[in-house]
Amino acid sequence: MKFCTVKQYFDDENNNNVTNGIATTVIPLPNKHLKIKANNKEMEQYEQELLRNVMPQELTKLILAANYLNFKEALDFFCRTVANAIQNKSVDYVRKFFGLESDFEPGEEEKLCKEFAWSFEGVDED
Amino acid sequence: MKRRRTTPPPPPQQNAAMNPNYLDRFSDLPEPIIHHIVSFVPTKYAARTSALSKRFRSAWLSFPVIDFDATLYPGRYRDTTSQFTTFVRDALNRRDPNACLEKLRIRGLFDGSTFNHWLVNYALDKHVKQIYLFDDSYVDTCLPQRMFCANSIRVLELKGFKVEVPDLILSCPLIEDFRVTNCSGLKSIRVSGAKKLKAVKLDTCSGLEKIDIDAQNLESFSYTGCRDVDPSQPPQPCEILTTASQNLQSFVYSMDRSKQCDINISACKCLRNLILRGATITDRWIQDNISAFCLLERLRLECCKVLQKIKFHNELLTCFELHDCDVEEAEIDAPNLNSFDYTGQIMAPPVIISSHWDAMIKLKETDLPPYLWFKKLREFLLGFDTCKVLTLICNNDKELIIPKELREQMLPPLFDIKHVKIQLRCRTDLMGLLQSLVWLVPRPETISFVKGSNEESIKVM
Repeated sequence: MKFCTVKQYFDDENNNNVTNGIATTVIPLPNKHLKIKANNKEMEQYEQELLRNVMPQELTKLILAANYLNFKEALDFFCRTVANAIQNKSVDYVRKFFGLESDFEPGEEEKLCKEFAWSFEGVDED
Repeated sequence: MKRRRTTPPPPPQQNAAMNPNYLDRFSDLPEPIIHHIVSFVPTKYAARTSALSKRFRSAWLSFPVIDFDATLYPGRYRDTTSQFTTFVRDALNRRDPNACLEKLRIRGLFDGSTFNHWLVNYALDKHVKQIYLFDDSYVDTCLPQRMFCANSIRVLELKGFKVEVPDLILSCPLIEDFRVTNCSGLKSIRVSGAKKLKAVKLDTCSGLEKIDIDAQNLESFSYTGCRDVDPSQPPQPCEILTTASQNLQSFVYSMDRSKQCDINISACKCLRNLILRGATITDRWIQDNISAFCLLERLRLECCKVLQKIKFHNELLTCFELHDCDVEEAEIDAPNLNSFDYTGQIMAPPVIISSHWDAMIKLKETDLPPYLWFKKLREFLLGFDTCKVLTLICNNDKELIIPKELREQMLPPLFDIKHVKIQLRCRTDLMGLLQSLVWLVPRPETISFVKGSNEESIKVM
């Protein structure tokens, strides 16, 4: 049963994990998922639409919501969407995409890039 | 160049502090979720996440998968084994020592037992569940025995190594998938007590004399290839036992060079798919075993040179392939047979008892004089009269152009066939071929010529 935690959510009033906005996106997912389960191309299109309409911050919330609700397919789907968005992009791009700030000491980041030099070859254009 | 932004700019600093849902920031995602996201990113790019922030660096260094394929970085880690092993050692030493390890997958140049032992011990100490090791170097190095009885391992796939002890006993209690390719030094493999084992695949392991798989939940077994240590010597005889594997569904034995091998799979009553190539099975073996496999759906026999007269009955069999077996007679009682594919010399007309089957015949070159060839061809084709679609594959249309004098002396063999397809490498005399075909198949609905993926059909009124 996918939504055993949903009942818990409604019972638990002081719940910061799942805001209403998120619930309206995540809960209709199982129907959508079942409808387009077999069709990969449709899933790709849905993914594209999602990326366009949803801010990266929202995606983070969706991931947390799916995780809290124990909804594996949605969690995989959102995580995969994030992964596809950041796949071959530069570190700067990914930081800006998610609103991250570098907290490294000066020179530390360079050291890391050197250690993982094999990973930094052939980056996509931003 | 101004970068065109399709995503909105990051929120200004003060918003984050005022926002009660500060947990929604990407960098504050719990580590298991960061791992989950990174697991969808190919390793080559995943390592970059370590440079995003301290949080991500520590997440990467505790990422439970080590997946490194040196072949993706030509010129960097492929040139010398020491470059490769140094890289792997450094990468592993950088990892968080408390982080667990689920999967270890490494492909590169392994330079010796010391490195191999260190690597495997590192992984096993962290209770790794899946190990994939592929050695591309030309020198076979040894792997520690500890791997073959480790408690945590579920998947073990090895390629290009040497085994220390020639009689290998695999006793990992949780093992599900075991694959060994191109490993030397093995004389026997015994698998015991592996209740979860589902698949075993052994490929090009020369010198194997005995394979004994005692795994009641085994679903597929495959033993293929054979890089002979010394091609001038006859290959070692071998023995395969799967006595306790009653749930086996697929059994594949495929050798490039035929060698004496006792295949004992009579206990595998659930077998659905059976492929034997280069096996020294006898007519008796076929009769005893094939009829007893009540769930068998596909049977392929190739280069089984000991066979002479094949005879069996099987209720559910749908596909039967007989290639290059030098068989003289075949009697197949298989009411559900849908297709019969035959490659070889002309033999006595096969007796096929089935209600709805198609056939594909590929005839080998012969040194029979033409008169005899055509007589025997006609006789052979008599066995295919009850099939629905017959496909004939020949090199040259001359093999099918039966001379007029002979046609006048004999009765056509394929009275009841409605659809015939001809596939030729070279076609020299279309008119002659058509005349001959119309005699061979007197009442066709369609005659088709197939060349590659093209098919030209003639509908006959």
